[in-house]
Amino acid sequence: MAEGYGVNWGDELDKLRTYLRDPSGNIWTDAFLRHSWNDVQQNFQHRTRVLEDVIAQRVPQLYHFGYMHDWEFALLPTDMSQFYQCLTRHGENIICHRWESQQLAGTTVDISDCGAHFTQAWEAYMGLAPGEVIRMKFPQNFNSVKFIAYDEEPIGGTTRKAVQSCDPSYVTTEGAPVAFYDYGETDNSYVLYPKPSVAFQSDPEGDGVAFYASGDTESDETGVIAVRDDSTPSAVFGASVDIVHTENNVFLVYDVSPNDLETISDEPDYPPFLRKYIRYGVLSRAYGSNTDGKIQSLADYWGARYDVGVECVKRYVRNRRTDRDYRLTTKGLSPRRNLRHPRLPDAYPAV
Amino acid sequence: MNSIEQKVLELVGENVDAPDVFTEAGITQIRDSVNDAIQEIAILTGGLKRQYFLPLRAGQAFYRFRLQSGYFGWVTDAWDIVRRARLEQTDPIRLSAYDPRWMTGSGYPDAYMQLGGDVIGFYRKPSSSSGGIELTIVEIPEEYSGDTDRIKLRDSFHSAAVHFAVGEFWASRGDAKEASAHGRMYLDALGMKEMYSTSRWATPSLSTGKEPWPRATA
Repeated sequence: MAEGYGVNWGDELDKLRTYLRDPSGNIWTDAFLRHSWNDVQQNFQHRTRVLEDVIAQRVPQLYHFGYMHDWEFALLPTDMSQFYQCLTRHGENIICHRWESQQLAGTTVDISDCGAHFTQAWEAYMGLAPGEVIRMKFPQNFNSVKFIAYDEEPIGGTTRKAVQSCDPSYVTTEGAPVAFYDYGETDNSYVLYPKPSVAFQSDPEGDGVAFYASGDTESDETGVIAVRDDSTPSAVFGASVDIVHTENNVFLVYDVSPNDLETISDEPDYPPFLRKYIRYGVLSRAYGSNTDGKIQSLADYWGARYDVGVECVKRYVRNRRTDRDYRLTTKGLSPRRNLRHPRLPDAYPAV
Repeated sequence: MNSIEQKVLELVGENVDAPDVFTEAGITQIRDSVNDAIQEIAILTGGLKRQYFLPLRAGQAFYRFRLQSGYFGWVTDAWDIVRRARLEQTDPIRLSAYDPRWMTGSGYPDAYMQLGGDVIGFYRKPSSSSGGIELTIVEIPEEYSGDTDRIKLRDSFHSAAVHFAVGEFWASRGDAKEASAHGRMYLDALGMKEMYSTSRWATPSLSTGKEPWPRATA
């Protein structure tokens, strides 16, 4: 089972029902158990921080569909997941250029625009200066950034306020990104500053513009369309290795917020050897809920097992750092000097 | 059934030679519990280690591991085979403070980092596709499914796994008292009872028998 886990919510549900002695769902409905599972898995992650992931995102990102109005969202295909809400909402209308808002308001149309507008993010890299910032989406299960780099250079977090304060042309400024800022939590997106001067990758495949390079695969589950991973299966060593490319990509190490389970075939984000702890938490909540099946002693038992599991997994997380060498340093002093330049003596005469 | 499953059935009062409930199909619940116990003990003790050889590729610093049998736990040793040198464990935050351009240079790997559950990164990234790293990895064993499958658990922990499974069995039958008793026996057998208090409200903490205040000496 190890390589592709292959255990889904339906399997976990069967186990839960065995321990609840409610095989037909006479007391606890499937929806109740699923909602409890989603709740407990968030709680478990908050307490242990065990889930962390690494991803290389291509720039620009690719989306299945672009849409404009909020109401369009409900009509988007359910078998796809990556959608880009483009252009700008203005009342009941969608506008491209900023002067259009003046046109609608009946005032003098005199606001110039700084560039072209687009419905898909890749269009912003087709030679014209963009008229709006280009959003990148964090992975679907993203919670917080632990480390981020663009084209092998670490970049820092900032705010739009700081960027606007120092660069009036921040929308069109182009160069190697030095920072990123959060665009919106609900949209789960961020903006690289300045805009990367990207040339599409060579080695084109498929139709139209060179969206895909060799080795890119499409991934709906991680919430990112193109994940570049050459695969080097090496069964003789008992392990296969994917290579996470960092060149010309955003390289992101992030804290995971587990995806909610929705259907019977969904697979939990936790590896199988950690799912039992989520099960313990769900059992505790089920037995403790105010239903005909309430048994407080069992709620306490499974609750205790859940707490032991939390401590156990905290130790597991600590174990990942067992090979670290720790050194004692003086508080307040930089542990190392990054750049070692020759120093002139204090008494050296000023010129 | 294997020896652990047999002991579990003995403790729950089942006829081991001619089981009426825990037949070939009915043993699944017990088997799942034993598998859970084995994996939890592996997490706590890091008892199952294996060596893997990672062939390096020029310019590639990060590698995601997919183990064929078992789950990636953590790395305990990283050894440069060609240079015969041990790699130091580090992390991207420390490296960025040390050298913001740490990802761009290439050369011999001097340090490694574990990112997420299964990604290994190297500083510096290899300059050529020759050479390799020998990694000693703690594995979380995959679930066994057959009577004769190897049990990847030290013998002295078998009784712990038995009590774990018996505790879960009684919990599934609604007997919280018996389940808790076997849960404590599991922790006892594992030698970790002190780490986890039997009361869920108590906070484990370090302490000595000394008085916390200074005493005047004569």
